[in-house]
Amino acid sequence: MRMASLRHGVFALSCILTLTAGCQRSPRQRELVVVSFGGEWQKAQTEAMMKPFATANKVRITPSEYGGDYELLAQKLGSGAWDVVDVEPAELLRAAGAGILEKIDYTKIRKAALIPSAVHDFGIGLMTYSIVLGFNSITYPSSKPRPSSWADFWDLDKFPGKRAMHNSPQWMLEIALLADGVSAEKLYPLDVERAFSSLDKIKSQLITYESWAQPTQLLLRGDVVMSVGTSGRLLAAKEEGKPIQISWENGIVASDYWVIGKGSQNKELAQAFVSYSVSDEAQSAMAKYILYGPSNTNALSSIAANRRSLLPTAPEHFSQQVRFDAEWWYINKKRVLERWNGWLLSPAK
Amino acid sequence: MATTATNLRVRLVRMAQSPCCWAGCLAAVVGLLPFSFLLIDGLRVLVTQPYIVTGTAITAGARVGWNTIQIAVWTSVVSLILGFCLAKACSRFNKRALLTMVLLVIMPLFVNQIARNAAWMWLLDASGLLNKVFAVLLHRDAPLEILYRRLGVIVVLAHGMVPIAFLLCLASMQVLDEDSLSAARTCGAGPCRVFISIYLPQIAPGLAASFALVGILTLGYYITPAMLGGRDGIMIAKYIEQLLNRIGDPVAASILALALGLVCIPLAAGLARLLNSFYASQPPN
Repeated sequence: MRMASLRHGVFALSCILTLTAGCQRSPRQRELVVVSFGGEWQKAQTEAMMKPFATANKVRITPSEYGGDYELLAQKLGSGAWDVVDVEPAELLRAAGAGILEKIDYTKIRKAALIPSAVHDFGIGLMTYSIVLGFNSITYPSSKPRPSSWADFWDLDKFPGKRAMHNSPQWMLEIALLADGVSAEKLYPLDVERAFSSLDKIKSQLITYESWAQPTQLLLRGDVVMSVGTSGRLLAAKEEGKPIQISWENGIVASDYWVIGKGSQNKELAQAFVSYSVSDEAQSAMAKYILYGPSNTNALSSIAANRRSLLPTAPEHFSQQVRFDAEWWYINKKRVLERWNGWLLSPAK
Repeated sequence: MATTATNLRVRLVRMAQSPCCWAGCLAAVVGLLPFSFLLIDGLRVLVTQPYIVTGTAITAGARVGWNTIQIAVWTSVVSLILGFCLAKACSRFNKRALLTMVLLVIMPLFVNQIARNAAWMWLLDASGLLNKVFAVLLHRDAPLEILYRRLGVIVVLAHGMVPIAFLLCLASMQVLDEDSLSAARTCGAGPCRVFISIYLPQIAPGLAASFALVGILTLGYYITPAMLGGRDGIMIAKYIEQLLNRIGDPVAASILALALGLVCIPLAAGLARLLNSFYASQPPN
């Protein structure tokens, strides 16, 4: 008798649970998943773009991080797990070519205020950054010779010690060619063979890192004497009083783009978010948090003059840097990635 | 022969009737489910698609595999030695002290793996505590390079595996026959002789089991080589992740995952046999 009522009770409970499970409200209402590269970069985006947008529109923005890998990006955009993603230029071209991106709605955006390279059918330019040489200013004080060019990065006799590079051929092949003496105008199309034989020269002293937040740590802890890094993050550490210096010579300049995935469940919200990101207020606010060139030219006037000279887009720095060619990488990245991996795994000669 | 066949049937029937056996099977299936997709995909690929394996892929995969095996062997050796010493030190403790020791040794495993790895990175890097101490003691200019190399991976992995090796060695020491040791000593054998001829052979299955278990666990490890392996300390799990996410070669990733599984299965089977023979040979206490 008691066993029968117990079984009935369990049966009834399981029926109720199954029915209520199906009645859950859609889990992604008024929520946006925004993915970027983490660290100081993402912190600036959070403070300047995500938080103000979230409070003004009463939505929840769930941030996430990734390393820029295209395969992961394609998978997450297709499944709708990620709504808005910060991508590098080559990935923008590849994703647009693969048809997994939503067209940006420019009707509410004043295109005239934006720099020309920021306007793309499937992506909107966020900020312009620069890949530069960073070093520890305690290791190389101003009284001693300091590394300034990529040739110095390669000079193991004059500047002995370990170097750090990002674990990706993108940017690194350009740097290897520049160090080998290729002039900036003749850089693209990249001579991949020459770049790899140039990299072989410093392979024994090379440490590779995965995330752009690591160069600062590696330099400060003394694991490396020089590192390839992003100018904004290295200068942010310098502004905090840490002993880090950079050299602008032959840095590589590029922009990142917000893209919206075709599989997103919150397309209108995503469009509103990306158009807010290039508004005057968001771009001025962003420049407060990280020293990168805004896409909105109106925002330049709100940046203090002494900080304006630390932007990669400042005329004195922009003129000595190299412009990144996303087209070449869009076509060749997969092949070069395999080559890079094989090179990385083979022992140093 | 007839009796062994009947025994086997009886045992199988009993296993099929016991709920514990079914629960164990279910747990094994659920635990292996995520890995099994990669395994099955690898099998399917091998059978259906003629995969054109490029020269780079072969050398890269082989190099990573060889690196992984070297790291696994070194880690097993180091953690076995340390685990054995720890276990020997507390094999004679009473129950309460033994329980305390076991808890203390297992405690590192309660800490999140990433936090543990970050702590090791802080200790071992160029401005870390270890280098500061060495700089003072040895008046060195250049820091010791431990991280971002195979050495760093071995050190950190061994630290993580010592509790496991410790437990298995301790288990074998607990069921040691004390009388045989005192008998040998009464017969006039010196401590070295007792150790080599009487002690080691009896706990050898436990030592071998701990070596095998640590080896299997280390072969598939991901977090440590990802965080502090660098170029030199790359292991197969990290390489599979790169193939999937960065390079975009799921076929190669499936094949490598399948290879990893195929290598681990005989190791695990050997481990199971060792443990079985070791527990079966116990005298009833």
